[in-house]
Amino acid sequence: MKQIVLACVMVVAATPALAACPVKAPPGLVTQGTLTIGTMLTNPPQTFVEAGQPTGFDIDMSRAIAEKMCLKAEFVNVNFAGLFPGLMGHKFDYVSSGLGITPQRRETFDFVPYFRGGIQFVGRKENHFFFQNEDGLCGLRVATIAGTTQASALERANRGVCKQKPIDLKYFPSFNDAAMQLRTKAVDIAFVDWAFASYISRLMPELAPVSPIISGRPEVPRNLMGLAFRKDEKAQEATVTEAIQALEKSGEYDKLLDKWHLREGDVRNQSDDKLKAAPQNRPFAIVFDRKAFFDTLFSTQFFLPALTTLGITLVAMLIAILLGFGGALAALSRSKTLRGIVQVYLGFFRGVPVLVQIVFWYNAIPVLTNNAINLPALVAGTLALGLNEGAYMTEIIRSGLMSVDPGQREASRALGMTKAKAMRRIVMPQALRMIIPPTGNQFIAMLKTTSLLFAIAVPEIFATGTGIYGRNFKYFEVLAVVSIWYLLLTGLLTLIQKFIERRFHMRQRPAAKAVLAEEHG
Amino acid sequence: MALVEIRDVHKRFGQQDVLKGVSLDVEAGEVVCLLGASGSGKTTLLRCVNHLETVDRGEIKVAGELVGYARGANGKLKEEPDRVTSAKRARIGMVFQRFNLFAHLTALENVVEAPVQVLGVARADAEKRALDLLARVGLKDKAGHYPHELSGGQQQRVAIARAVAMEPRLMLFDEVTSALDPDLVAEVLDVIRELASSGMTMLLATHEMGFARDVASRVAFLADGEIVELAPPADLFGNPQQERTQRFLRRVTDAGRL
Repeated sequence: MKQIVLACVMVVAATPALAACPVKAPPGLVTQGTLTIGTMLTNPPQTFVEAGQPTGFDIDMSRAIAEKMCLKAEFVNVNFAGLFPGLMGHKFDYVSSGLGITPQRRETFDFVPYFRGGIQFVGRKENHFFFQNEDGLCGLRVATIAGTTQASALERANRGVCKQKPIDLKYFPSFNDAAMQLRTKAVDIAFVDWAFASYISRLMPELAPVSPIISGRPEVPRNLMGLAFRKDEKAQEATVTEAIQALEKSGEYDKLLDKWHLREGDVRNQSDDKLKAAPQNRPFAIVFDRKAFFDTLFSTQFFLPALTTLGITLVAMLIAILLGFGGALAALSRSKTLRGIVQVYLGFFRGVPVLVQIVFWYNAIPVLTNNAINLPALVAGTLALGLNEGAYMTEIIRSGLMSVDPGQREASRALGMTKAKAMRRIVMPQALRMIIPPTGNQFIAMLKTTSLLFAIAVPEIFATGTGIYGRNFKYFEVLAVVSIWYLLLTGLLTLIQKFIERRFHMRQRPAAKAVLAEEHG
Repeated sequence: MALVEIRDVHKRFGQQDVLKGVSLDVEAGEVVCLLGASGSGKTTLLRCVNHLETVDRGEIKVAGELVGYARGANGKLKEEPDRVTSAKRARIGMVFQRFNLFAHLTALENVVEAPVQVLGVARADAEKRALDLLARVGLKDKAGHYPHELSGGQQQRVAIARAVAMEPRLMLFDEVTSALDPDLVAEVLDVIRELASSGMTMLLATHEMGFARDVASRVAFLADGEIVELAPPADLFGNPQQERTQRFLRRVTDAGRL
C-alpha cells in the first residue's frame, strides 16, 4: 500500500517534470520562444507542403525536437540555393532539408545526423531497367538536380566510364520536376534521393525504384543527412543533439520512420564514425577571400557563360524585335481580329511574371504536349525571354510609329505610294529615330534578365556563379565576379547604343529646330 | 468630257454631314477655286478627289476613271485594291496646308523620292529634273537642306515641286498658304500662279480672295456642305446671286481680306 502511494506520488511528480521540458532550450534563437528551421518545401517525403502546411519526415522531426524543448517550430521555406546563405545570414536556427553531410559542407557548417541518405534510380516499370550503380546509365537520358550528390555522381561517370557514350544529363529545379519528366517519357531515368524514390513510386504506380539504395561513390557508405548549424553556435547544436537522442530513446524516432515508410533511413543502422565524429573546429570568420575572388575573376570558367548570356540576349531581342514589328503593325491595322490578338498577347505577356513564363516553357509545355514539344533549357529560356520582350517591343514600336506625323503618311499616299511603300520609305525611317533609344535600353535590360534562366539551369553567368558558390560557399567573392561580368557586358552594350544613337542624330535633329528655322526664315 | 467629274458626293463624319450632294466638273486646263468658311467642306471635297477620304454616296471620276473604287457586277461601288488606287493617285498632285515634307529627307530627296519609288524613274534623271523644278520654285540653292532648315514658304514651294515632279494631270491645293506667315504667302502664290499659267488643271481650297479673283477660271462658294454658287470670279465677286454668298463676301470685305 505504501509502495502504491509512493508510486502515485512519483507519477504525479514526474508528469509536470516531463512537461517542463526534457531538453532546455538553447540561448540565442533567431526568434525567442521559437525554433526557426530553414527548409526547401519541394522535397517529399522529407520536406513538402500538404493542405497548405509544411509536412514530411524532416518537418515531423523538427516539430518533435521543438516539443522536447517546449518551443514552437516555425518553418521558413527557401529554395535550395538560399538554404546555406540563409543559415549564414541568421534567417533560421538550423537547416533541415535532407542535406547530405559532405566534407566540403562540414568545412563551413556543423551537422547533426538524423537520417541515412542514399540515392536511387527511378524508372518506368515497363522498361524493366535495373542498375547496380550509375555506370550502367551511359547513353541514357537522366534527370536530376544540378549541384546535388546525384549530379556529381553522373558527372563523374561521364568523365570516366561513360566518356564514349555520355549520359544525357537533364537538370531540373526539383526531384518532382525530374519525376514529371519520367512520366512524360522525356527521360529514361530520374536520379533522386532514395526517400523520394520510395515516395514517388508509391504515388505513381507506373514508376519504380530500379536500383539498390546506393551512395553515389564506390566503396563509400551511404551518406548521412544532417541538420546544418552555424559553426559558432555550439549550444544549439548540443541541445538539438540531446533532443534527437531523447527521441531515439523514447521510440518516437522509430514511429516517425514507420509513418513515412522510411525504415531504411534509420541513422543508427550503420555506424559511420568518420561522419559522426566531432567536426573539426576550424574558426569560421567572414572575411573577404582575396585569393578566391581573383582566382574566380581570372578563371576562364566565365568565358563560355558570358558568350551564352550575350547570345541569349541577341537572339531573344531579335525575336522580340521581329514580334514587335509584327505586333505594332497589327495593333495599328484596320482589322479588329488582328488588333484583338495583339491585345491578348500584350495582356498575357505583360501580366505574367517572366520567371513563371520561363519555367512554363521549360517544364509545363512538355507535360502539356505529352512530350511532343520538349525544348532544351537554352532554347526554352531564350524563347520565353523573346516572347515576353516582344510585348514590350510591340509597345515601343507602336508608339514610335504613332509619333510620326500622320501628314507624312498622307503626303506619301498622295504621291502614289502604296501603304507598304509609305511605311517602308517614309514612316518607318522616321519612327526608328523614336524606336532606337528605348530599344537600346531594352537590350541592356534583357542582358540582365537572362540571369533568371538560372532557374532552369541554363549555363549563363549567374547560374555559373551559383554553381561555384554552391561548392565553395564564397558568396560575396563569387557574386562580385558575377557582377563584374555583367557590368562589362552592359558597358559594352551601352557603348554600342551611344554609337548608334549618335549616328542617327547626325542626320536628324529634333523637330523643335524646325520651328526656330521657320521663324528665322 | 471634263477632267474631274464630281457627282452628288455625300460624306459624313459621325453625326455631321460634311458634304451634302456636291457636283462639280473641272475641265482640263481650268483653275477652280473653292471658297467658303471653315467647316464648309472645301478640304473634305479635295481629299475625296484623290481618295484620302472615302465617299459615302455619289462618285468622283478623274480623267474618266473612278479613284479608289471599282464598279462591281451589281453596279455598286466597292473599294479597289490599294495598288490600283495608288497608281491613280500618282497622277493627281496634292499640296497640303502643313506642307508635309518628308522630315528625314533633304529638299532634293523629297522631290526625287516618289518619281524613283513610284514611277521607277532612274535616280540620276529624277535628280536632274528635281533640280530643274527646285530652280523653277527658286530654291535650287536649298536642294541639300532638310525641311527643318527651311522657312514655311520655302517648305511649301518644295512641296509644290515635289507634287509637280510626278507630272500630274491635276493638282489639288488644300489651303496651302493658311499656315504661312503673311510675308511668306506671296512667294508661294507666285509659284502657283506660274503653274496655272502653264496650263495645269487645278482645284484649290483657299482663303485668298484676291488670288482667286486673279487666277481662277471659276470660283465655287461652299457653305454647309453644298456648292451655293459657282461662277467666273468677275461674276461671283462682282455680282453674287445668292444671299449666302453676298453675306460671306461682305464679311471678308469687312475683315479686309478682299
